[in-house]
Amino acid sequence: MSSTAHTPTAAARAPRVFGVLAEFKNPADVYHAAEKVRDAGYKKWDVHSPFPIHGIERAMGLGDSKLGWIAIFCAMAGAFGGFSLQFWIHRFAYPLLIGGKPLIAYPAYIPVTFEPGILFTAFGCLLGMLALNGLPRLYHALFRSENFKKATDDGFFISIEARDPRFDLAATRDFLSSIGGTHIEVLED
Amino acid sequence: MVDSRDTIQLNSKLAKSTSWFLGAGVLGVLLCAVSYFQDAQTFFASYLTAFSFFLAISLGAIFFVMVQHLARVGWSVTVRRTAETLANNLLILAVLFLPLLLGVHELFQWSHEDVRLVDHLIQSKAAYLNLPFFFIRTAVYFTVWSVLGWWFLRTSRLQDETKDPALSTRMGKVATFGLILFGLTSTFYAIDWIMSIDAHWFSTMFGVYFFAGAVVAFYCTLILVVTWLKSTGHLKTSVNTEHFHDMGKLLFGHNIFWTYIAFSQFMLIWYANIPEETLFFLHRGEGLWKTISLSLPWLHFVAPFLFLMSHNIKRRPALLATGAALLLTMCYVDIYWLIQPNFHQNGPHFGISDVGSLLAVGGFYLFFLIHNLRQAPLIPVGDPRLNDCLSYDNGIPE
Repeated sequence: MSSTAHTPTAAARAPRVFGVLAEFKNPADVYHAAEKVRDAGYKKWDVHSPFPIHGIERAMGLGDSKLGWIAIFCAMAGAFGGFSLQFWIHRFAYPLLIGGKPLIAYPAYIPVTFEPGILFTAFGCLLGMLALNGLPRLYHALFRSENFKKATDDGFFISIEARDPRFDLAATRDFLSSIGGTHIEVLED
Repeated sequence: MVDSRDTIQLNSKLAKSTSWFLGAGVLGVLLCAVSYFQDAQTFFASYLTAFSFFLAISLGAIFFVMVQHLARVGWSVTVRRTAETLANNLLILAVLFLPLLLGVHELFQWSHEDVRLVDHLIQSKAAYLNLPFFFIRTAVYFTVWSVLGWWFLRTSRLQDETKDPALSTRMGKVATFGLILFGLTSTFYAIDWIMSIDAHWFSTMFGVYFFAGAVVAFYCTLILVVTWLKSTGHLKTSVNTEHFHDMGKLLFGHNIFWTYIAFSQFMLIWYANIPEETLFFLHRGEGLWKTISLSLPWLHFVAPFLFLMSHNIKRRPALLATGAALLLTMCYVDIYWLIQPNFHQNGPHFGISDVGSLLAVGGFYLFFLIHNLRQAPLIPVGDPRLNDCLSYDNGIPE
C-alpha cells in the first residue's frame, strides 16, 4: 500500500506530447507557412514572433475576436447598473429633492450611468483578453524548448498542438518540415 | 503606385451633372427671391441656416486637411483630395455669404440702436457686439478660411506635378498656424452669427459645439462624395474597404465627441437652472421644438452610435453611406434647431425659404465642388505617402 503511494505509476510518469515546434527564417517565411498550416485544416496551433506581423490574422485564418461581445455586454451591464443604482436610491432608498429637480431627474443620471459603463468595459476588456489568451499562467510547454527563447528576439515559430484533431506526430512533423520549418522539436507537456 | 487602370480623373459623364447643380442653384435663388419678398426675416433665418450648414461641411474639411498634414497621416492620402476640394469651397461660400450682410438688422436684435438703448444686457455687451467690429471680424473669418482652403488645394495640386516632398513639410508647417486660426475663427463665427441672434443668452461651449457638429457633417459628406465617386466608376482600387473603415471610425468617434459637447452644454445649463441660461432650452422645450430637441440625442447620437459601432457596417460602403446620409440630415436639423427657434417661437416653419436656401447654397456649392474636382486628379498623385495609403490595412480578418 504505502510503497505504491510513494512511487508514481508508470502511466503518470509517461510524458504527454504537447505538440510540435518548428522554426522559420523570417516573417515572410512564417507568414506563408501559416497559410499552408491554415489550408491543411489545423485548428489548435499558433505563430510566435518577436513583433506583430501585418496580416498574420488572415494568414492564420483567425475569425473576429470575441472580445467585442464581452466589451458590449460589460458596457450594458455597467450602464444599466449605474442607472439602476441612482433610480433605486432616489425612488426607494432615500428620496431627496435636490435643487428643485424631479426625484427621477434622469439627465443628472447620465454621467453616473456612463462611468460604470466605461469602468466595466475596461475591466471586461482587460480580464476578457487575459481569459481568452489563457492568462495568467506560470508554465507553458513551449518554454521547454531552448530554441524557443529566440521568439522574443529574432526567431519565428509555428507550433501545432497535439490536441488538434488532425495532429499525428510523424505526419505533422513531416508537414512542418515540408513547408520550410527547421529545428523541429517535439515538446512534452 | 496607383493602379494604371484606376480612374483618377473625373469622367466627362459626371462632369455633365454640374449643369443640374447649377440649375438647382438658380431655382434656389428664384425661390429665395420669392420668400424674401414674402417675409425678409424668415428668408434670412433660412438662408443663414442653409449657409451655416454648408459652411460647417467646408470648415470640417479644412480642419481635416490640416490635421492630416500636421500628423503626417498616411492612410487618408487618396481621400484627401476630396477633402481639399471641399475645403476649397470656402471660396464660393465667401461669395454666397454676401446676401447675409443685407440681413443683419433682420437677424440680430442687438444691431438696432433703439433696442440697445433700452436693453441693459445688450448695452453691457456693446463693446463686442457693435456693427463695425462685427463686420471686421466677419471679414477676417472669411479671409482666413478662403486663404487656407485655396492654399492647401493649390499646394497639393502643385505637388501632383513636382512630386516634391518638401511641399508636404511646408503644408505641415502652415497647418500648425492654420489650425490655431481655424479654432479661433470657427468659434467666433458661431458666437457672432449664431449665438448672438439671442444676445441675452450665452454658452461658453457654443463655439466647440458648432465645431463638433461641423466635423461630423464633414465626415458624412466625405463618405458620401467618395462613395458617389466610386459608384460612378472612379477610384476603384485607390479607395478601398480599409479607407471606408477609417472614415467610418472617425465619423463614429467625432459623433461621440459632438454628443459629449452637446450633453455637457445641456447638463450644465439644466442643472444650474439660471434664468438667462435656461431660456435657450426653454424656447426649444415646447411643442414641435421639443420633438426636434429630443430627436437630437436619439437620431444624432443613439441611432448612429449603435448603427456605426460594428466594423461590419463601416466596411460596407453602401451601409456606411446610408448612415452618413441620415447623420448629415441630422447635422442640418441641429443647425436648424440652433437658429430657427429664435425666429419661430411657436414651432418650426419649414417652407419655401428653407428649400430655396438649401437649393441655392447647395446647388452652387456642389457645382463649384465638381468644377474643381475636374481640374486635377482625384487623388494627390505626388504625395510622398501615397504608397502607404494604397497598401493600408486595418488587419481585420475576413
